[in-house]
Amino acid sequence: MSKKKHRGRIQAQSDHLEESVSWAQDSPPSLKQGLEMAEELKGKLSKKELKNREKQFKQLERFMKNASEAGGIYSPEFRSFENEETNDGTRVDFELWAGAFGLSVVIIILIIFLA
Amino acid sequence: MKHLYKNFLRDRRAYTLNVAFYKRMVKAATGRDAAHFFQPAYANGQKIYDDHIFSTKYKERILQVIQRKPSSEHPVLRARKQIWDGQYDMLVLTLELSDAIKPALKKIIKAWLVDGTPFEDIQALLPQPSGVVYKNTGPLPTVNEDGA
Repeated sequence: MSKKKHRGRIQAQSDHLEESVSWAQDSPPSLKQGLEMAEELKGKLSKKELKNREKQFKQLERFMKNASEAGGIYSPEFRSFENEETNDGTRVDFELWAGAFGLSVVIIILIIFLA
Repeated sequence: MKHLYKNFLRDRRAYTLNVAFYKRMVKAATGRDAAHFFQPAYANGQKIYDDHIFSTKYKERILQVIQRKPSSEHPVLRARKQIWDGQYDMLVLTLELSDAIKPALKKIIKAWLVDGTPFEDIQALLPQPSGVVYKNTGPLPTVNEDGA
C-alpha cells in the first residue's frame, strides 16, 4: 500500500511519556482537525502531564492557527514547544512529514484540480 | 559572556543575520551551502520569525536549532535526539546563543552532520555543568509503512 500524501503527528513527550496522535490521509488536515487532534492528545494525558504542558498546548494551537491564517503550511515542518521549567524534555511537538496542513479551501481545490 | 544577535526575535534584520550565522557555521563544517530543511515560511510565502531559527539536513542527518531569547548569565546549550518520520536521526539543539557556546556549537555541528558521531558522544561536547542533556528518541510512528 502506498503512503498517504499528507502525514504527520502531534505528540506529548518527556523522558517518561510518549503519547501521540498521527494522521495519514489524502487531503491536508484542516485547522479544525488539527485542534481536534490536540484535544485527543490531551485526553491521553494524566492531569499532571497535561498541567505540565498547558502552555505548550496553547503554543501548539497558536502555531496551527497562525499557519492556517497564512494559507497553511507545507512539509517538512517541525515545531517543538518545550517546558523549560522541567529538566526531562517535557514538551509538545508538531511534525508534518509529508504534504500540507491547514491549507485554505482555495488552495485545496487547486491541488485537487491540478492532481 | 556576550549574547549574540540578542534582539533576533524583535529585529528582522538581526534575525536574518542570525540565520546567516548558522549557515556559515554549517558551510564551514560541510563545505556546502546550507539550506533550510524545515519550511521557513507559511504556504502564502510569509516568513516565520520564531525561535525555530534554523534547520538543515546533511548525510541523512537533520539538525534543528531552537534559539531562545537570552535570559541566562550562564551558557545554555541542550541537546536531544529524535527520529524524524521514522527515517532520519535529528539532533535538536536548544540554546541561548553566546560567545561562550560558540566553540562547542561548531564542534557539535561538525560531529553530528559530518563525522556521524553517535548522539551519546555528542553529550560530551556540551558545556558543563549547565549543559543539560536528555535523550528522547520518541515513539515509533505508526503510519510510515503502509499509511494506515
